[in-house]
Amino acid sequence: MAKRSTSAGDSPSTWLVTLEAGARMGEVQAALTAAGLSVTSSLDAVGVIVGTAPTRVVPALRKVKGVANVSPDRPVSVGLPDDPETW
Amino acid sequence: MARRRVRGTKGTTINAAPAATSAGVEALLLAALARGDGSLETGRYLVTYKEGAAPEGVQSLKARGLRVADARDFTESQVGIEDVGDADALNFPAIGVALVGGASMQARGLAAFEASADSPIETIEPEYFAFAENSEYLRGFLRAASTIAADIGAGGSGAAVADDDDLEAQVLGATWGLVRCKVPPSTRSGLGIKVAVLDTGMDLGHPDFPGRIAATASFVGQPVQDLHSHGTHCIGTACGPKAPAGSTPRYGIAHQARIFVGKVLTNSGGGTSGSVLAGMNWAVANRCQVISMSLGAQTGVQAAYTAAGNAALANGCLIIAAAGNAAAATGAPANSPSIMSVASLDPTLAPSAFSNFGKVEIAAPGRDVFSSVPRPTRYGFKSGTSMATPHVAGVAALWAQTSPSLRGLLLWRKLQATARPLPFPVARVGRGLVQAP
Repeated sequence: MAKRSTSAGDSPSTWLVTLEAGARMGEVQAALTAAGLSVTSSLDAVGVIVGTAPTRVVPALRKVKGVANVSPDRPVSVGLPDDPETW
Repeated sequence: MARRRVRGTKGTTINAAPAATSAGVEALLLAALARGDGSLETGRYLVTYKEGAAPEGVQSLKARGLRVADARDFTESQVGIEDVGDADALNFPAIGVALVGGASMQARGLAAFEASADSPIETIEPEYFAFAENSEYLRGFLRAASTIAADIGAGGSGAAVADDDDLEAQVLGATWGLVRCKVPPSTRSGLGIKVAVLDTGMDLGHPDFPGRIAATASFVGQPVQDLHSHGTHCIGTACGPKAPAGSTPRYGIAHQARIFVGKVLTNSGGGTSGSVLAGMNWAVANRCQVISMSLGAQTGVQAAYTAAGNAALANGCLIIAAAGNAAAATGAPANSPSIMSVASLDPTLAPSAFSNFGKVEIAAPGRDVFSSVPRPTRYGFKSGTSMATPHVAGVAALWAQTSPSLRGLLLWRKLQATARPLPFPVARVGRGLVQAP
């Protein structure tokens, strides 16, 4: 079977990696890096690692010990300054 | 002989940090706020040519060494000020005006432009900021002006702008929201409590907050200075002063709390969950007892927010978030079980029509809320669960002051246990209207 290559799977996007309670941030971060995540920030007070990676490596990220969840980063908005309603 | 008019800023004094012709509006506003003189001048100048003398006018600018970009050189004359690069001036031949940067005026010497009878230049005037007529800035200004007019008893046909019920509450000394939350009679001030507001930043030079900002941080690559107004408004409600100057009503709750300003949304009001989480991480690491988040997205529960909420509670921090204004299910992060969700109430104490529902813990005033906005306007009205949330955050700081044991989940329960029940479903108003100790 030919190896599939999709543009969506190859272009890096930002992921929020939520750690299991009690997981060691340093160890998890090292394992995530080895699995293909380029870590942009380690939020150790809230147990979340933010990084970028192609979609195709996300299944491997999810298998890292101490990882509870891997989800795409999402936009947040309160509207433009003149919008009649905010969030 | 034509009357000569040459006007500069305060005579011929140019400001110390003159604005470039190509500077964006945000950069100009930041520079104007840094000047702190309360003026609405952008730091650039408008050179108006005498009637029919536009070609000669632009030639006179070039003759004095100015590099002049021409609006006709851009497609359909749709030129943005940011597009002119390092040009000293942008010429608008169709209206006989050129926009000249303050730096260029300074470098070439304002005197060089002094008009004479044979000069093609009619006037040189400072450029002023323009705000949209329907903007919160102007609305806030007009309301504040009408409040002041009512307070000093100014009569006359021009003063009858006040047509809002909440104006009455304002001239009595506090906003309708604070009165409903029983804030004015409370002896608590939030002293010793750290409140983080994660939003669009803060007008750090706002006259109502001298010495009140304990720490600031930006997670969106822009200065903390708020050019949006949402953040300054939310901070005003949660932590504004007990007695603002003049006839401005009291609009702030925890007036002695230490304010942590986390900029997690840009001046356009946007961000990502990642920037919000970075702000939450900062606030928890700094041992803030209360985090106010008037932001969100209409999504399902996001695991990272839930984890952050749990981490916060475990560290004695309560995260309070706005349910949202889509008249739909509560959005994220307020839908996380570890984060307290706030719905909006109208002055009648009925839930606001826009307020999201479902997972709602508590309710607070959110319609027509008067609070601080960035200079030069300083005060304005906004509506939304965004405005309800800092009411709860401010009251949470008052309760947290009453006992060092009231932290995290215990603070959450205290706020719910002391809320005033309302005759609406829990899914709309939670346990009811938040009440100050």
